[in-house]
Amino acid sequence: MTSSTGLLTQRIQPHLPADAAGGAAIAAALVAVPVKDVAAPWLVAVVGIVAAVVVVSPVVRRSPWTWIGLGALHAVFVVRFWYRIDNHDFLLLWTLLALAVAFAHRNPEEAFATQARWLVGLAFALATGWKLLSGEFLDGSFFVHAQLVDPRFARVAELIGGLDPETAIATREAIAASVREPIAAAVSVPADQVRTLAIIFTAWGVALEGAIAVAMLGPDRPRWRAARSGLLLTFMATTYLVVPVVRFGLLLAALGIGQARGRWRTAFWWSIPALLAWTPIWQALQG
Amino acid sequence: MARTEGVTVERPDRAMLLVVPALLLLVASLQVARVATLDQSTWIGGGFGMFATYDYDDTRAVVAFWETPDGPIPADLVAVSRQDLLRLRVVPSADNARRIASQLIYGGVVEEASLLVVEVRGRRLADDMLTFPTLVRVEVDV
Repeated sequence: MTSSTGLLTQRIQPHLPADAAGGAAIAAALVAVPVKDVAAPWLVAVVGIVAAVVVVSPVVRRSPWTWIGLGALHAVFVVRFWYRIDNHDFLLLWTLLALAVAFAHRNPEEAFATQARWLVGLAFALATGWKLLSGEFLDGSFFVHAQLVDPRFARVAELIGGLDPETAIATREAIAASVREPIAAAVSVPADQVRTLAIIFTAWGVALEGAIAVAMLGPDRPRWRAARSGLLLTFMATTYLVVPVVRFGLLLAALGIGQARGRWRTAFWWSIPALLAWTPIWQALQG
Repeated sequence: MARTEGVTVERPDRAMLLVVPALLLLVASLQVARVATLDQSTWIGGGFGMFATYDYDDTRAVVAFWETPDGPIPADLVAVSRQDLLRLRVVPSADNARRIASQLIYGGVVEEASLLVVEVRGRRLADDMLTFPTLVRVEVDV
């Protein structure tokens, strides 16, 4: 007996782009997002139109010049605003250039798959390296601080860790009051309330990110392929459940689609509506 | 010639695939060097150091005050360029702090002030106490 989800997948799968074009379309759409915050309205309109044409036109999508152009535009944005942009804007730049290389290659499918694997692997290897080198991450104090000070993590700590909401608010107010004084007094923080969850987050984060790096940079053999996609989807599910970062999530989905095959590729496609649907729910839960 | 999943790929084509990952590593290396030498926030600059440390641009604070005979008076940072403030929090260098000081002095010196102090404060959590170590401090005679 086939489940309704299975039937739906069977109906949808033939219509999904079966090559690098799927990831390409998502990447093109993502370029338009940061531009709207900083560029003149006419440039926003041009980028929006180009992104739309890329999404609907296979001819435009398969030209390396499309990706060189979008990459150059995004590179200007990255260089100009390097000090205020997140890492996923850098990863988007590398993805656009990888697409240019892929569509100039005799086998775009394989070329994008290989580059997507290496880009994700390097990004996660660097992320793991920073965490291993950071004493405050390994001793759990990063997530102690995050749960007490970052409202996104505080909400999770309140829901599943038992953190008293008033304590978290009082801690944030004490920090805000102290740090601006000519001589900043130390602030006592209720670390005991959040330490257990901090240790779980720490161990899970570094183990999963390290595993993704190893799997993505490891040999391209069948047994590694399922592990790669499974680990990356697990990261997306667990990370964006707690803190949905939509653009980073969509970019990882694009790279995941690029490097995966068959059902795993379909699973990455499904991660996109899942992330887009979960984000407003999460925002509502945050109050 | 190399063989991958039944598709024959010539070596020069394989080499093409290394270019973009190499660029990623180049930019990340630059970011690592800047973090080591300039105290740059690990969260910024393309090195994928987000969520590794709680001392980063969003948690760092820029504080400025005028020294007067009656004690320090907080300087109002509202009129200062937001981009310059962010740049100072990302890279807490003396040059970036002096740029903020110049803007404050240009906006008007508080009466009887002899000195303008601009500081960037980071964070350190140890023994359940959060402290705010000074990452950079500049003093400008006014």
